Amino acid sequence: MKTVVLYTKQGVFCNVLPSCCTQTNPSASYHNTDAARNPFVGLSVLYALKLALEAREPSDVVQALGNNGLDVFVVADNDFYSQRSESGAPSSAELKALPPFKPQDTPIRQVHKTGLGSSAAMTTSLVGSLLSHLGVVHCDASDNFGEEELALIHNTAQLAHCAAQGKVGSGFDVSAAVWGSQLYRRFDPVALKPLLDAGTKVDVEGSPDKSAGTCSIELAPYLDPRNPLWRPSPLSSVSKGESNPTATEGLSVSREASVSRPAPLELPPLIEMALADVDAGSNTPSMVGQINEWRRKKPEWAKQMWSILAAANQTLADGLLALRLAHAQDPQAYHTAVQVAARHFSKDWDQVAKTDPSATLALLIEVRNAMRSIQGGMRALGREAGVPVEPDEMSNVIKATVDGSHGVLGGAVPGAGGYDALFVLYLDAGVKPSHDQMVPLAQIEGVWAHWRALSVGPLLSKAGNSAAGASSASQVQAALLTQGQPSALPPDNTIQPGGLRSHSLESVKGLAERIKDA
Amino acid sequence: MNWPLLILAGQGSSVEAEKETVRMAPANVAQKNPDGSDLRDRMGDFASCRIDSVAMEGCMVHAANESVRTGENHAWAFVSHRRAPSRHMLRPCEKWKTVPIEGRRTLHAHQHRMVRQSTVISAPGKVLLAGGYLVLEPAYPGLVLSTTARFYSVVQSGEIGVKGRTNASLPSIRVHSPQFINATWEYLLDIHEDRCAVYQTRCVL
Repeated sequence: MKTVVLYTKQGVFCNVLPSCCTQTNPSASYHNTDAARNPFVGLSVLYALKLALEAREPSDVVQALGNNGLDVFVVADNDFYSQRSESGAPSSAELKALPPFKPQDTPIRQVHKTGLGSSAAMTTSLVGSLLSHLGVVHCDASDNFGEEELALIHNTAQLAHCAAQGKVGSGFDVSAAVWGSQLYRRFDPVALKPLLDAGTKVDVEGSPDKSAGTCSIELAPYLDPRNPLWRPSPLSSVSKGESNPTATEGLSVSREASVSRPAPLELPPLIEMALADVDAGSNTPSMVGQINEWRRKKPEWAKQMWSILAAANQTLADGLLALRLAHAQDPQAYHTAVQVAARHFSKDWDQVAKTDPSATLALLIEVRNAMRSIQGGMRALGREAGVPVEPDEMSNVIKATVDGSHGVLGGAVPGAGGYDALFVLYLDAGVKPSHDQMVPLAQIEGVWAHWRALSVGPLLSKAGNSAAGASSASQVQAALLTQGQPSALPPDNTIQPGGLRSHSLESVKGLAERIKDA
Repeated sequence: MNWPLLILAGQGSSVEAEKETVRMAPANVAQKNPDGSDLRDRMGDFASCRIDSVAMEGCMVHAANESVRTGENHAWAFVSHRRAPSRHMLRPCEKWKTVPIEGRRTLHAHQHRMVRQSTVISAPGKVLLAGGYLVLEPAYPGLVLSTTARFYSVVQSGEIGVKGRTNASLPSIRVHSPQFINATWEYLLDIHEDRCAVYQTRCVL
């Protein structure tokens, strides 16, 4: 029976009030300490529901909730959690043998994460699934969302994620969860400020705090995909430096766009990413505060460091785009050059280029150099600020991987650095480089398996693509057209889009089984 | 008429219906398949069938295939969204949508039981390739790769007499994280004329 179908058209307010209908005996053994408050879950539910009540007729929302409410299951691929045991990190073969969505046999607060952004991915998929189920967004026949729908999910998930964290973070993890691989620029925190200031939280039933935060602001005007505040701007309230648009972005802005969407950035063909979960005994605490403190104390140093790193980052982005262009112009030549480079250590590529020069190899060298510059810059930043951005132990294993496996462009500690994870980019032409060499990934994992100074375990995940719609393929087409050249490549419909996706339950291996057991 | 209760995906979309009966008036019938073949010939059999009104809400049924009637697998219907889902900001989206009907076999055997419709959405993880610290300012872009590893969220309508429902007078959303011990959160939704409240229950489900 529905008891709550009283509505007006004048917006629905969202007072987060403690319940007046408490249990008759709250001290009974029902207290669940393992499922204590989880603001990421609670605020995702709250904001998705509130937006649905604003966007649709509230009676429709109540109908969609049904007489028995909704059951939502959130589950992660195994790579999000460290699968180590007492005997150490599992090999990739052992990881592949694990059941999908393996239970972790632990309360959620004790889980060891691998740093892939599980809270952002959880928040985004939860918000997306609720907005979809409640009829606020719809996907098309091929299970893809339109840009406007993705932007609305993005903005709502950013709100829930920021509110749960208690601050506006960098935001790229939620952006990646929606748009897939990309060149990210931060949105202006002003976009969310009024909503965050309104201070909504989800209270536990029976809480004595009767004056809990209320949020009477309508979300829709702020979360509107066409709200210009979501468009990153050099005039943003957090901007200090000068904005330099990259070639990747330049090729994307030409598209007619009513919503803000980041420029896609995909790895070029035959280049792959390998990820490792590193265990150094403890998780690295955030170093952002210390880095900011150093910037305040040494503004001149910091300014120089920032411009060096910005230039190297831009060279890397442009180099990856240039490689995609090279592939589109002459796939055969690209393939041949990659096969040659994959047989050599990347430190020997300059020598190879003397005897076997090619445009592709020159670009691979450029990307390798950019990765070295970035790594060097981040090490220097850590040294100057006195924090372990890329500690020596990590540098050593990265160097051993790059120098000890053929065709590795470079590697680094992702994101803000620390001891938790590392990645390398490597060439994979799909064949054994030569009769006496193992396939590239096996060489890399071999180095990690024998590393004793740190426990370095592989993950199965590779780099994903950008969200459907404006892919990097259309970027490449645009670039070639400006040069008056047609692409040699037929459109590839087999590419799995990255970013937020919709599925049928049966199409995801092991998913129905996992939630049935719940 | 003794039609099985059909559950079609396409949540959130209104029905051209009298109560639970979807009538497909000729004006609503699609003229063409997406592949160009004509659909009109096949429509006679589907002039009337019971459709779950919640699931079909907001959708217009344009056509359904033979399997809808015979109860075989691979049943489908074409629906489109008739109405803008948002009063504020979302434009109408007139998209064709192929809708799989899940669990037809079960339906056939237990026609009285509703088959749970699932909304499944996944989001990838991330790796910040380059741009750590700098990315906090919009002037500096970050190079972000998504991962092939994904986080999935599955939404289903609650079953009748769901285990652990604590407050029968209010609807609730229950979020389960089955990879962890005791990880279920229940949120009671107190939706009123002038406000809505969401609060977490204290109970283990």
